[in-house]
Amino acid sequence: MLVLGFVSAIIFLILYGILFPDSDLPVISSVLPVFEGVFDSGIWFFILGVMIGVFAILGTMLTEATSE
Amino acid sequence: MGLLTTMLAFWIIIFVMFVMINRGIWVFTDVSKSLTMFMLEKALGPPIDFVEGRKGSASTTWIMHGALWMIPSSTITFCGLWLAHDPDALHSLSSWGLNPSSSSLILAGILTASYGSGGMMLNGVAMHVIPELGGTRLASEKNAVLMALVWTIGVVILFIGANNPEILGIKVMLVSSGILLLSGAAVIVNILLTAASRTKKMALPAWMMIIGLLAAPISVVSLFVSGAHDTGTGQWLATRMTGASFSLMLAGAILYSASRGSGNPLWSRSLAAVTMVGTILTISSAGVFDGGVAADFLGIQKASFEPTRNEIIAGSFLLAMSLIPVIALSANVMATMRGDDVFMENPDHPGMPEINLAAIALVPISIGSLLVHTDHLTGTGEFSGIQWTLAMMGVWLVFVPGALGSALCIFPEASGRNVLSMNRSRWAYWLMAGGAFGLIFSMMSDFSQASLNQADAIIEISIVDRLSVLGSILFYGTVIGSIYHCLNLISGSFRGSLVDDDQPNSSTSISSPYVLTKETTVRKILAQREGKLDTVVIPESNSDSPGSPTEL
Repeated sequence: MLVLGFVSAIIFLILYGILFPDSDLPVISSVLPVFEGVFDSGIWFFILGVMIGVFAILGTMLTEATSE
Repeated sequence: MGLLTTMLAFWIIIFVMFVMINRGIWVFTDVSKSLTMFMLEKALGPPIDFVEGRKGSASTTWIMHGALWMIPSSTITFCGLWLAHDPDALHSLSSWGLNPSSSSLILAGILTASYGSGGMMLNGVAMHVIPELGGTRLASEKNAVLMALVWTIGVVILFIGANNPEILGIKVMLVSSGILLLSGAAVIVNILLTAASRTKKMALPAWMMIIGLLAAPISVVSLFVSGAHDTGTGQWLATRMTGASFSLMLAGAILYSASRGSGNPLWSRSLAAVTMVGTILTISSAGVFDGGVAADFLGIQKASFEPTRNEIIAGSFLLAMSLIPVIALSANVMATMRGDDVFMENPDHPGMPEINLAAIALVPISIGSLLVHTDHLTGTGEFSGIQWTLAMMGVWLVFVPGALGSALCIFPEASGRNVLSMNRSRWAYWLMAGGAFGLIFSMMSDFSQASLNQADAIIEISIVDRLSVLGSILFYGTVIGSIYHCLNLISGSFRGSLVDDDQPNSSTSISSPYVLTKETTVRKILAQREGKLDTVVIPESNSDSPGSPTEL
């Protein structure tokens, strides 16, 4: 399902670019400028990795505690 | 002579406490025991009923908290290292009112790693080791579990205080030290009650951990008794005595774990005694270099560091003497782990690689710290540029690995389950150790910067930044290693194999005989994991076929 969703999204983006070449993407093009100047240093990629790790720990705690 | 007076007060109070633990407090012993036990549990009311009280729960809780603290402390340190070469990297946080700088993050990283990560793991180890060596149970498991939460709150406030010392006129670090003192006092009382109910003579590692726990509050008391708390020398000495407190805890933990994990007896009790007495009698070179941190903890005015000539001589001598217990500890741990052979007997036992790393890195880092401290004490100041990197190396190559190794070693016994995967544990070790060695590049960068400063060079040399970038990126391995270790411990506490299942079963099936080409010992065969107790050993030169004349 994940692969299907990913492929569908890519197809949609390509089609949108062909059909509306001069138009920005709806919603996404409005949201992205909010983060302009925020993630402008390489450190954020590393911090993103830490966040994934922290969520992995939280997920592990939840699944281990609730599994039969 | 504020320095010697403070040290004298410290020695006397430690000695008095040692005698009191052994002899009791006259007719008040029984009354104080029952009263203190009441204060630890019933007096706390409903909160004490929310926590678990089964055997080993206190130790496991403190270890888990300590392991979880490794992630924020290593991440903060990583960010501090990054900001050293890219000061505006986190400027977007200013919209939230946060303006972190490299120095504040590095200080916060060291403090959270010391009190949150290493400190909590060592307390957890102490809660297992002291009852184990005393042949008794921890006096109050429930109180100790509850205090882990209080201590964690104290460390969170400590982190805030390291970045923002004063909020709304309140000294944040002082609030933090108050909470840590409250929790620490409960832990000390709990441990003292445990020691009082011992049924056999306790081995030296247990005494080291008890004295280590007591040394931190005693150092503050001796500082105020001597009146040196408002002098620069006194504040510097306070950080040194705190270093001694952590060093004693660490020494006790790794000596016990090295013996437990390898299955070898402690190599030398004399060296263990030298480690304990030597650490108390000398000035430790471990810990942060800046006495101002102690002033922040105590909520007093920072004083300028202006030691007298006599203080410089006495301080330098006692600092130099601190290498004796350090070398004794390192040699004792390594010899215990290796037993009578030239290689480690049981390298796959949890925590052994970490303890080995700590024992190996202990001596060079202590020598480096000694040089920097002597340089600082004499007012030369040539090495001041590397002091923070050296402190970080001490934390991430000695203190945290030693505490983590001990915690991993006793975790199966305390929690009843093994860590989930030895393979993941091994990966985590290599990531953490490799990342921490990245600090060598940060130190090279510091040296380059110091050389440029000395030469008054105006030209911009990119090598300083490049080395700094390399050091910070490599340190990210420590962050990932911390996450791996935490995942392994958390999953292990739920799904790890039960310790009882690990008991070796008698087996008669032998997959392959162990072929000998020369004489060896049973110890070496077992240590190489080539055989079990019933493995058939076949020397290659012998056979069961009947002898016959040699054909020519």
